Formats: sequence, C-alpha cells, structure tokens
Amino acid sequence: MSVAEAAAFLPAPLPLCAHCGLPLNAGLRERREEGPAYCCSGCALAHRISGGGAGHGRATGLLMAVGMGAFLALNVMMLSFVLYTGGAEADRASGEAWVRWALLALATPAVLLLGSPFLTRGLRQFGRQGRIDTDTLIAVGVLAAYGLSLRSVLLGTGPLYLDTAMGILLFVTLGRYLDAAARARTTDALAALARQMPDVAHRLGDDGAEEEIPVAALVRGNRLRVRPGERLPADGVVIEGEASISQAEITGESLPIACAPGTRVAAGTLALDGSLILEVERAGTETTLARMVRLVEQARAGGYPLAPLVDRLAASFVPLVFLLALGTFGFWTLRADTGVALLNTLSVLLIACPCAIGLATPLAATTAAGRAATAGVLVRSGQVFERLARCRRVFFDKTGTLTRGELRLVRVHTAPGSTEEDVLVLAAALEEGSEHPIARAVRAAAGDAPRPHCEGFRAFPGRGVTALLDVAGRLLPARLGTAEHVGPVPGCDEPGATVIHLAVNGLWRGSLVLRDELRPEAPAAVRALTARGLAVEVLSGDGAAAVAHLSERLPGIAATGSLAPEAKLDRVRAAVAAGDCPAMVGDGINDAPALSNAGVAITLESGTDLAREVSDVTILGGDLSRLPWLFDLGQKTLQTARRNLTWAFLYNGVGLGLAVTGHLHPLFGAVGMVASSLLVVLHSQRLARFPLPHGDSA
Amino acid sequence: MSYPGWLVAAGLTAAASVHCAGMCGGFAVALAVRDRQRRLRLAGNQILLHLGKATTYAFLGALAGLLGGALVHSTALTWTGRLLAILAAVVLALAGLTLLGLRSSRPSAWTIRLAAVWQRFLGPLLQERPAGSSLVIGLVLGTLPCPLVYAGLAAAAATGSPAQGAAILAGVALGTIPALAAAALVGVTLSEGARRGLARAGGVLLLAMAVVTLVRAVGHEHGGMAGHAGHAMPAAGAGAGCGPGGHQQMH
Repeated sequence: MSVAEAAAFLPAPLPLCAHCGLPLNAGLRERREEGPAYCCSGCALAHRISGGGAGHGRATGLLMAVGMGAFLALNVMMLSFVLYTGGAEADRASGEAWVRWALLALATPAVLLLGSPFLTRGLRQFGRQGRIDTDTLIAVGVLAAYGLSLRSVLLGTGPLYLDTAMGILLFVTLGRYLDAAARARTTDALAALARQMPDVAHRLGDDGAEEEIPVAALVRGNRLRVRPGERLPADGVVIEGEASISQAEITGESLPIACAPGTRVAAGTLALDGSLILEVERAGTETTLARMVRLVEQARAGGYPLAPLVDRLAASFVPLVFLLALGTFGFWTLRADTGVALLNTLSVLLIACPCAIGLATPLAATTAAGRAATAGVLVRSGQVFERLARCRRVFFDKTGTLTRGELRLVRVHTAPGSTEEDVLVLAAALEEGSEHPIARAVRAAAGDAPRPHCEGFRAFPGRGVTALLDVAGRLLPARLGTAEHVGPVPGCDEPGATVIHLAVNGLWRGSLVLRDELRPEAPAAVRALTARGLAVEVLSGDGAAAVAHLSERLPGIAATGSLAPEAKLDRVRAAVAAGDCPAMVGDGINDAPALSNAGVAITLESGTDLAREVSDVTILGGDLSRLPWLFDLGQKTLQTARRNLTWAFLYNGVGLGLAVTGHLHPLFGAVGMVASSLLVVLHSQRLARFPLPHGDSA
Repeated sequence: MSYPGWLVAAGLTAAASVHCAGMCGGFAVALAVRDRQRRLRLAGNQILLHLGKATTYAFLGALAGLLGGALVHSTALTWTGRLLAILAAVVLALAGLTLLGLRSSRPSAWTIRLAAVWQRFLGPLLQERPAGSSLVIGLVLGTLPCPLVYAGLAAAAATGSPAQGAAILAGVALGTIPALAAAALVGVTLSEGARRGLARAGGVLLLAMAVVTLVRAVGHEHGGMAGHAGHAMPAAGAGAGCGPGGHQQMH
C-alpha cells in the first residue's frame, strides 16, 4: 500500500479555520465545500492578504478596497468631529446642507468598501442557518446608522451618525485583522513542526546509484543517503556511517546524540556532521513527526478546558443579547427619541459580541499544546491540561517506564585465575547467536573485543545456553545460565537482579549480574512530582525483590509488585472512585487497561503501540524530567483559560450594563470589542513563552 | 505677533524632521526608487503618500482635540485644561530630549513589531504597487509611532478643539514633507554628522517650545479653561486657532 493510499484511510481533515487553525463552529463546518473556511472575517482578510486561498491579484484588490475605505472613513470622521465640536447632541443637526451631502458622498462608498464583508457574511449566516453571529450584529448596526443618516440628509433635517458607522467599520476591520494575525502566530506551532520535514530524499538503488525522489514515495526497506546538514526524511535504522543528530525540534532534547550503525533515528531530525545511510522503517504518515502533527491537530479539534461551561453560557448568550437590544430600543424610544435609542441599541449589539468568550479557552489550550510539542511532549486534547491541573495522584509502571526496560551489566564476579574480561568475552561468544535480552546485554558489555570460536550452540529457554568454546586451541564444553543449568556455583545472588553463571569444562569461571536500571532522571522527576504535592505510587508486575530494590532507590515512594493488569486497573479505578483524577504513566500492553481508565494517560515514545493508542500524552525520547514540567504547564493553562474567561465575561457584563443605560457610545463599544479579543490573544501568548524544562534551549 | 498653530507645528517639524529619515524615510525612498525614470508618476505617488499620511495625522489630531475638549467639558474643573497643557509640555520636552540623543532614540520593540505587522499587511501592495496604492501606504505610515506626532497630539488635546487639533497635526504632516521629499525625489541624504547636528538643533527648538508652553500653562492667571486653551498653548494652538475658532492674539 502506497503512502497516498494509506492516507486515504486516515480520518478526514478536521474542520479548522484556514488561517488561524482554530476549530470552526458547527454552522461554518457545513459550508466547507465552498473553499477555504474561516472562523471570522479577520481570518478571511488576513489569509487572503498573506496569499492563501486566492491569487495575489485578489489580495491587492482587497487591500486597495480596505485602504480606500479607510481613507474615506477617516475623512468622514474628521469632518464630523470638526462639525460637531463640543459633542452636544443638538449640534448634530447643524452644518450646511452641502456639507451633509458631502459627508454622505464620502461615506457611501466607504460603507460599501469596508462593510461588504460583514454584510455578505452576516446576511448569509442569518439566511442559511438563521444564526446570528457577530458579523450579523455589526451589519445590522452599521446599516441602521447609515440608513438613519441617509434619511436625515434627504429630509434636510435630523442627526447624522455617519462618523459612528465609519468608526465601527474601520476599527472592527483593522481589529479583526490584527487579532487574526496574532492568533495565527499563536497557533502556528503545527506549521513549525511540519516544516521539519524535507521534501525530497536520496534513495540508493541496489547498484549503489543515488536517485532523488519525493518523500511521499518512500516505503519501508528503502535505503537512503543523508548528508551533513540534511534533515532525515523518514524513521529508520542507520546501516552505515556515523554522525551527530540533533533532535531538538522533535524531542526538545538540546544535546545532539551520536549515532552509528544500528541506531534508530526519526524523521525530521538533523544530521549535523556526518553522512549516513539508513534503512527506512516508517515513512510518510507513519513517522513520529507525522504522528506528532496529527496529535496536535487532534488536540485542536478536541475538547478544551472549561468547554461545557462556555457552551452552556454561549448558548443562552446571543438570544439574551437580542432581547436586551430590543428592550433597550423600546425603553429609550419612549424615554428619549429614536436617535438616542438607536445609538444605545447599537452599543448593546457591539459590546455583546462574544468573540472574547469564544476565544478564551481554545486559544489557551491550543497554545499550550503547541508549547508542549516544542518540548517533545505530545498532548492529544486540550482537556488534558484541565485534568492535569486537577490531578493529585500519579501511578507509575516500573519496567520500561521508571527503568530503561533493558538489562545492563552492573557487576562481574570472577573465579580465582579468571579476569572480568575473560568472563565477559567467553560469555559473549556463547551468546553470539541469541536475540534474548540477556544475550544482547552481555554482547553490549563485551564490546568489540575478539571472541573465541564457538560451535554447537544450544539454547534451553528459561535456563541458559550450552556450546563448545575454543579455549587455547581446545574445544571445551561451556554452559551459561541459571545456577540449576550451570551446576555448582558460589552464592552471589542479588535481590531484584538477574544473575547468570559461566562454567567451562564443568568449572565455575564467573558470574554476571544484570539489572534493569532506573532511568537516570527518574529519581529527580519523582521527587519533583512529590514536591508538587502529588502522591506517587509504583505499580509493577515484577516480583517483590525487584520492587524492593526500586524502593531503596526511590525512598518514600509506595511501590507494589506482582500486580496483574487487572490489579493495576483496580488501583486506578479506586482512585477515580475516590474522586481523584489520577495520572498513569506506563508503556506496556499490560498497562493499557489502567491507562485507558486513568484521568490522564501518559506514555513514552518507546511504549507499545497499544499504550500509545490509549494515551493522552506521549513523551518523545522518554525523558521523565518532562513530567513535572507538564503538570506545571497544565496548571498554567487552566489559570490562563480561567483568567481569559473572567476577563471576557467581566468585559461583556460591565459593557452591557453601560450600553443599556446609555453610557457607552457605539464607537467605544466597537473599540472595546476588538480590544477584548486582542487581550485574550495576547494573554494566551504567555503560554507560548512558558519556560521549557531545565536545560532546553529550543 | 501671531502665527496659526498649524504653521508653528509645520515649522517645528520641518526643523526636527531629519529624524524622519530613519522611520518614514525608508518607505518614501523605497516607493520612489521604482519610479525614478518617470518623473510625473514619481511626483504623483509622493503627493498621494503625503496625502495619506496627512489624513491619518489630521484624523488623530481631530480625535485628540475631541477627547481633550470632552475631558475639559466633562470634568468642569478649571485646572483640567491647564493639566493638558502641562502634559503637552512634557511630551514636547521628551521629544526634544529624544532628538538631542539624551533619551534612547532606538525604536522600541513595540514599534518594530508594529512596523512588521504593517509590512505584512501591506505586502501585496508593496510588491504590485497598483495605481493609488501610495495613498493607502501613506495612511498606514501615519500610524507609526513618532515623537513628533506625540508632541503634536498632546498639543492638539490641549486645544480642546477637533478643528485646531486636526490643523496642528496637518501641520506636522506638512513639516515632514521637505525632508522626506528631498530624500525621495533627489536622493539627497545628509551625512551622518550633519544629520546629528540638525537633529540637535531641532531638539533644542522643541525643548524651548516645551519651556514656553509650560510657563504659559502654569503662569497664566485664568488659563486652562476650555476654549481658552489656546492662550496657554503657544506650541500647540500657538494662541491662534486656524479652524472655526478664528484668530486669537497670542499673549
């Protein structure tokens, strides 16, 4: 199956705004077939100007229209200010007839030039779905102000509201553009990720000839050449060459890693100083980088912190505003006159635009997800941040999570007359043909040292191996394995460790102590979590001895061993039942049930596919020191979203109060509307600067 | 002796406008470079550019005048106008100090960011330059932060009149024309030393104006009332309105 075919099985592209990448509301989602969809008129303007969605000619025309509209609008407002010096309402009737006609002549094209985006969008929105959005509110307000002024000019008497109409159009157009531009910067972490992918790869044929092919055409098994300074086009294994590889953009790890034949490398990383030949393991949409991009997209489209609250309030907000506007108009018509009533109603409509409320939480979550991706932490949905902030308990799996998940040689015991090197070299020779984890650990410990000839290899699963070894020119029978397999050996058991013994010609030569060591950063990470008031508990399927050894290394941490997957699940469920929102960190298939029931499921990049599938968070590179940072980011995100919401509701509430009572001019309503959503954007951007985990420079 | 406020503003700005070469000058020269071979088009585009800039300035001036007037009217305190005049003096002094090099004259991070936003906004226009685009570019250019504009706006607010405010800022726009046009049309750019010398001279002038404004604002017996702000504001209204306010004698 080609990559293109595989792509057809991926979920359909998520309905996101073509400019800023925020999810579209349900109404706009249904119009996707009409070309790029935008969440607001500001995004439509900004996207076309930046050359997206339309040719350059259209962008120029749009800019000229906005610019000319602005020129006319500024003149209308300036002349109006000068005419109505003092601001008294009675003065609005003053001015020579020709001046009023001149103002109208300037304002009419400006209304058409600046107002048409709001009019068409607002009316279409209303006509198609009966929905009233902010564009409808603006269109209604501007048309009312213009219509009343037109009537005044034609009748030769009455107030003019052309400056108000112009001001609203100008401020809202500019404000929307600035807002959209800032928002796109906040959410373009995804674009930054996608840019890490090269367009072409250099594929090596069987004859060693090199050809340039598009990355989309790569398949598993292809051999590629990567030169210094190039980005890797696919995930794979190095089969030739050595180089330092910078993973800064993928895992957030700032130190380059040295790689040699056998090293697994990821697409998008950068070969710094050497040329490599690698064999493709995963290409196209399967690479770690592509998965990251998909996860960040999912995080955008997924739920956001506090979303239900916002939905509930927003659902009743717009109808309420219209009732309030009608009431305001009625009240002020009776109390004063139509002119005052119109101005106050206009203020109500403008100040009530729930832009800021709608932006408050998605922006915080999207920005945080982008920031997390920068540090090599993939977050599946915005709600994860809220759950992280509520979390009080963290469960850890042991093997592969707190530990590296691979055995390493920690000690060699030798018989009199043998050296450590002898024992290691002989053991490595015996294990040459085995893929058992113990065999790999022994071979890795022996390194490149020349090994004696070995023949007649036999493996006894669970016990050890036997073979004939060439020792000083004689073939001698040798055994490597458990004490039962090898025969009489001196007692050198260590709790929680794996010990294998070597006997040659029936004589004990030495013993190797192997252990699955803790990740070096694990103790500090666990301490940092407990320092944040989180209860940390280790749930392990391993034997009691191994867990006891772990407890020694992690003092004060509760650890339970010999837990079946169901038992792990029970522990997590008990915590959920107790009202907690527990986090579970695991990597194995046996952790999957517990992960899928945890409040926050966290796995490592090295985790099994199943664990990654059910997890909310994936830590690339498996660096546990990202965990405390992630909890901090969760707190900060929730705090930011809450502050955004508080501000937005406060602004709308106070503004509405002022508008209804006739204390807010529509112009200030328009300025306030734009300012409030800009404030939300800028406040959310603080998350994009949230300090990365210690030691990172990205 | 009486001068209209816009004339004072234009003169002061012209004296201090070597400063403009840094921010707006780059734009003006960039626009002119393409048209070097076609004199008529070059002149037309420069006129549109300055018209656009003057429109933004004058609008801001009218707005400042309106807000200043509203403040004086609404507070009904005799010292509000005086306070505005003192504020104008302070802003004038700060602008003068900037030109003298005593305050950092490097554009702030905020200014640079705004310029970048505008540059992105204008991108297609700057590339394709359709007829009339110079007007739009001028409009946008008028929003760039500039100490001379700040000083003008403070003075405009102190007049309390949209008409006088618009006139003062139009004067500021007028005052920037010689330096910018010289750079754009003739390609004349002064040596670093000459520019610094002229900027210092402009700075001294602005400081002197600030002192005069301050003395008038503080010393005037019954100054500071709305409508009489011109009395306290030699630098701004220069004691003489140029709009409907008519001409008043400067004390």
